[in-house]
Amino acid sequence: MIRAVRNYASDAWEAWNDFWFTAANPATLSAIRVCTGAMLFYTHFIWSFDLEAFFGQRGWLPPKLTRELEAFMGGPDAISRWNWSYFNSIDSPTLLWLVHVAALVIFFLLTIGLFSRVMAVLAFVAAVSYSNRITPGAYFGLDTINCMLAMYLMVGPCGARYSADRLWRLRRGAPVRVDASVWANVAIRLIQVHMCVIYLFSGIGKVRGGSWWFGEAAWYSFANLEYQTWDLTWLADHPLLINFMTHLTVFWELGYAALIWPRLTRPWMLFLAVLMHGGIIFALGMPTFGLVMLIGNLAFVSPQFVQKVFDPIARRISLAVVGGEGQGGGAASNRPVSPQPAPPVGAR
Amino acid sequence: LGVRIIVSILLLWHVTAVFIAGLSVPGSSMLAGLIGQYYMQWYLDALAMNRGHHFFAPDPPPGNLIQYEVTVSGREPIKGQFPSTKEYWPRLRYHRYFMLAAQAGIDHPEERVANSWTEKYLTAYALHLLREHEGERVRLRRVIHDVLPPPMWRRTEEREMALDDQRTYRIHLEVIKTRNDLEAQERASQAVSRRWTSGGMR
Repeated sequence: MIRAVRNYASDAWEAWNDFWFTAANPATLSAIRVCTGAMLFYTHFIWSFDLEAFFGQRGWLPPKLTRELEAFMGGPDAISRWNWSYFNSIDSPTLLWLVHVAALVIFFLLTIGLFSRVMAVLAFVAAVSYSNRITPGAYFGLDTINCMLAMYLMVGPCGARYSADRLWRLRRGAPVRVDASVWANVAIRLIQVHMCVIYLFSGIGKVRGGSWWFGEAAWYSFANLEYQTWDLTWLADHPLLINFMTHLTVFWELGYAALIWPRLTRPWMLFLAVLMHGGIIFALGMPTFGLVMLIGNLAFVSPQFVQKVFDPIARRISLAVVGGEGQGGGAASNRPVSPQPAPPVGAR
Repeated sequence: LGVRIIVSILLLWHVTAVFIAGLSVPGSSMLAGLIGQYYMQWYLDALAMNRGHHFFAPDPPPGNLIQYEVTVSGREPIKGQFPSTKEYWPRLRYHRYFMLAAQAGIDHPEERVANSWTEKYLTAYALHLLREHEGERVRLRRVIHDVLPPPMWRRTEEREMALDDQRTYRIHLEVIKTRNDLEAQERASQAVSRRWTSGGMR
C-alpha cells in the first residue's frame, strides 16, 4: 500500500515536471509577444481620442465613484481593494498625455522586441493601470485578456525570436541557433491553463442562463442592434440552426479545458475557436476582443507551425537589417531549437 | 530541486488563484467568495485577475443607450446619444461608449440599491457633459433596448415588430442636473483636495 502511494506520488511528480519544466522552443511565446504588443498598442492608441474624458479626474468616471462601487461590490467582508492604477494620482492633462505617450512607446517596443523582458514588465504595469482606472465603467473582456497576456510575457524569454533584441544579438555575432527554454514552457503553460479556466467559467456562466439552455442565446447576441455589425437576422427562418449555434458555443466552451490537450481533438478545438471568435469579430462588432482571444489560443499552436508562418517574414527583416542569416533564417535556422536540453529552472 | 519545488509552490498558488478568480465573482458560493474576496483578493486585485469570465452570461444582455440634452445659454440645445456608430469611430471607441451605457446598469439583487448606483453613474455622466459643453442644464437618461425573439417565437402582438421598434425601448432612469450641481461638486472636490494637501484627512 505504501509502495503504491509512493509510486503514485513519484509518477505525479514526474508528470508535473514534464508538464511545467520541459524546455520548449520559444517561437510560440515570441509570436504571442509580437501579436500581444501590437494589440496593446492599437487598443491603447484608441484611448487617444478620449484620453482626458476617460482618464482625467473630471471625466466620465470620477475615480472616487469607481472605487466606491468596487468596494461596495466586494461585499461587507471584502478587505480594502488592491486595484492600483497610476492614473488615479494624475491630475495634470500634460502629465496624463506624457504618461499615455510613454505607454504607447512601451507597447511599440514590446511589439518589435526591443528590451523585450523589461518592456513586458512595463507593458503589464501600463495595461493594468489603464484597465483598473476604467473599472467599473468602460472595461470589458479585452482588457482582462490584454493584462493576462502581458503578465505571462514577463515570465518567459519573449524576445528570443522575432525581435530587435535577437537582431542585435546576431549583429554582435551571437549564434543563429535559439536555445529551448524552461521558462518559455512555463509561460506558455500558464497561458494555456488560464485560457482553459476562462472558457470553463464562461461556459459555466452560460449554463446558468435560460436562453443558452433553450438554444436562443445566439439569436439574442446577433439580433442586438447595439452589438450587431453583420446582419444575421435572416437566421430567424432557421431556428434549429440558432439552437445548434447556441449549444455548440456552450459545449465548446465547457469542453475546451479537456479537449484542447489531446493531439486528436486539439485541431478541432482550435478550428472552432477561429469560428467562434470569427463570429465575434465580424458579426458582434468586437474585432479586438475576438482577436485577443485568438492570440491566447496561439499558446496551443506548436512552435514548428509558428515558425513556418513567422520565420519567412523574420528572415526578410533580418536579411535587411543584419544582412545574413537571421531570425530563424538561413540553413541553420531550420534547426528549430538546440538539440541540447536546457538547464533546469534555477540553473540559469 | 529546491528551486523547482519553490517554483512549483508558486505555480500551484497562481493556478489556484486563476481558478478562484473565475469562481468567486458576485453571485458565487460563500466559500468561493470568502477565498476570492478575502484571502486571495490582494493577489487577484494586484494582477488584475478579479473580473470573472462570464462573457454573454448568464444571458446575452439587452442593448443600452445614454440619451442626453444639454441646454447652453444663447445656443440651440445639444442633443446626443451614446453609443453611436456615427459619432464614435473606430469600433473599439464605440465599444467603450457602449460599455459606459451598459455598466451604468449595476447588477444587484435589490433594485433600489442598483438604481442608486445607476443614478450616481448617470450623475457623473451628466456633470461631465455640463463641463464639456459649458451647459446650464442637462437632462440625461439611460434607455434599455430589449432584443425581440425571432418572429416565430414571439407573442402574436409582437410578430410584426422590427428590432428597432419604439416599443422595444424603455427608459431605465433619468437625471436632470444644472450648473449649480456642477459648481457644488467642484467646490466639494476642491475642499477634499485641500484637506488632503494640508494633511487633514491623514
